[in-house]
Amino acid sequence: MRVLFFSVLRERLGTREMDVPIEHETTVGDFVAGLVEQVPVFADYASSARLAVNRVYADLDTPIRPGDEVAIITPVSGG
Amino acid sequence: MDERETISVGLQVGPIDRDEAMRFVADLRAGAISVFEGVTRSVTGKRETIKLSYDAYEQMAEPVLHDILEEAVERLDVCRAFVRHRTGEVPAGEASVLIAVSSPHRSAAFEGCRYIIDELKQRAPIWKKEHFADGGAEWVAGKGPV
Repeated sequence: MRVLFFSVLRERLGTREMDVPIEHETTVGDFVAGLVEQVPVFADYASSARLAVNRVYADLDTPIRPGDEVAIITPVSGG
Repeated sequence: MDERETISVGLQVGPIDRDEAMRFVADLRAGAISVFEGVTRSVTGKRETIKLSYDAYEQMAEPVLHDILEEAVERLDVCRAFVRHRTGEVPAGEASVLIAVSSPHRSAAFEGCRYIIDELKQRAPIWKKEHFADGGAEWVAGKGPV
């Protein structure tokens, strides 16, 4: 599954995209908990970031399925 | 009413064309056109900013902006609405975002611009990094989405 990073997180990780395999459907909440383990830098942002699943803002109970596009949206600052 | 689209959305690298915005929102039903530009400010407190650079999740930002402009047209008495947001570097003094709104009367044109910029800042997956004259740079932490 593709996970996308932007702004400060992209810079700190040195990548815009990561492949994180998931075998079964999960939820945003469980996925975030797993990503904190896998990507320690993400721990600094896990509480303030929102996730987008397939380009739509998601909640903690939103399902994530293999093949979905997941993006980590740290607090936005456009304009 | 003619058959043109009522909203126009885009992200782009390089300066935004004001004339294009004015042409787009022109409408015979409109008695008012309001334009908002968000500009790179050079002086914030004691530190001098030389430029901003923007990162965006473009595949999501465009549909989010589309939704925001549609909301403005549906909820307010707006005829046409236009927005462009730059990505990449925006030097001090240049606009990073331009919004134009036409409406029958002035209040909806003002309200439309305000609604669109407020929602954009809250919801659009776009991030700015401030580059200072002293060589430092930092990502600006926003507040949304909530």
